[in-house]
Amino acid sequence: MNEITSIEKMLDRVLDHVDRPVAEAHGLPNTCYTDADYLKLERERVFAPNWACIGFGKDLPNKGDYKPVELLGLPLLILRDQDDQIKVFHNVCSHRGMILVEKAGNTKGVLRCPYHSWCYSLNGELAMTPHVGGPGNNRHDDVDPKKHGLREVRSAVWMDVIFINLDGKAEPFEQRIAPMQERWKDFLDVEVHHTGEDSSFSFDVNCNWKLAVENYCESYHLPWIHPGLNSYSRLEDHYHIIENNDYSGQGSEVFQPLKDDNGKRFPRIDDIDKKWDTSSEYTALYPNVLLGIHNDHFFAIQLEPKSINRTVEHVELYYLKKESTGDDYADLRKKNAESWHEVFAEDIFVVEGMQKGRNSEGFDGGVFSPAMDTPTHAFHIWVARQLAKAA
Amino acid sequence: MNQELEALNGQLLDLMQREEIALVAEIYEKGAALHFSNGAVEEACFYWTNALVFALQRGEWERVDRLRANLKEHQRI
Repeated sequence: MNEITSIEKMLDRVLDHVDRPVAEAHGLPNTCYTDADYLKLERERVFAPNWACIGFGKDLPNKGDYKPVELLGLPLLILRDQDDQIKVFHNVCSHRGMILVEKAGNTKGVLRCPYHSWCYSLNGELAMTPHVGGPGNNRHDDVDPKKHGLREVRSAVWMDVIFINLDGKAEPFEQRIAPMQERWKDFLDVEVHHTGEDSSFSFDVNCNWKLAVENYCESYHLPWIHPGLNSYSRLEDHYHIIENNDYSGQGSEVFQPLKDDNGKRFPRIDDIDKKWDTSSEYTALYPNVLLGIHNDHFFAIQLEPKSINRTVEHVELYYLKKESTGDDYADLRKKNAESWHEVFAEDIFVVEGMQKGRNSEGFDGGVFSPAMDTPTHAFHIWVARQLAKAA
Repeated sequence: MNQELEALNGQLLDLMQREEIALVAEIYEKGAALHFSNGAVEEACFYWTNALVFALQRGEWERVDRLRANLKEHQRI
């Protein structure tokens, strides 16, 4: 049996076993975590038709900033144009397919392909084709610049998170984000503030990206994996979040703001539902971004799949009040970053352990606790339905 | 090729190898002027073109306008 046939057969099983009531369902089979050919299929069926995260606006603070990124091997280019808008293009010259940009930078002019110096404006138009008609002659009747601009990818920015829809056919982003936005409507008009290196860190983890989502969605593991967190935010203080197969996660009803030794905390936003005095929420917005909201700060984690069994988790912390970005809060910001770093680092051995377990012949999807694993099950159903849609 | 042009080309090679493009457009433009003053229009257009590429990249818009005007005058863009 060839690889594709084998994967197609596996997909039948995915639908049959996963998309059932939680008490009867099995998880996605091992192939979805271990097979490199499956990952190609996942790019086509899970990432391309949806809104996937590829980065953060804070990495391109100025007009003319550009940054190359990859999504499952696909070279892309994010830039901030002269109208201050984030745009995403395929990072490839229309001429001979040379990678256009190899490293991040800023341009006050055009992007120049290093191979034959074809130049592109920041809105992707082909601005110059030097010597295309022979030495010193910069036009040729058969090379119409209007036809050979950079290929733009549909993109949107929300809470500084940059999303793309590769196939261009997904529902409008506003529609996609509406349920999440409704849930967090108190934070809609809040500007998020990033403070640079002291609010960024990453983990290079030996696991499939889905395991990071699955682990993030549920609070069941708290007592054993996060004993420190569980000492004040206990398992029974958490609730599940599942919404229309758009996102899932968990909330805590006993959020306690971080304080320094003098009791100073980050300024919080007021005039919001009282629920947020003591609540915080953590959701996985499918496919690959994990979010956390509190009344004083927010974080987003981009899961960048590097291979079938390797994921880089880019963690970015944002503050909801401008005052929190000042020097007088630098120590508290450092403490906050260290605190979250510790929590997320605690998860590494379990996601890597689950990855190793996916090579076992004694496991092929497992079961869910109908009481505790419903957010994770919701994610499995979502993945299974994405695979089925295109099958 | 006269000595001045040779020196300019040497400078260009050096700058390009070091990926320091700040002066490249200016030097190409100087080279174009030398060619043009020698009556070598083809060569001047070649140099103006190269100058234009780097002027565009750096957003040297006054230079871009000037170079475009030269190339337009000789129907090269």
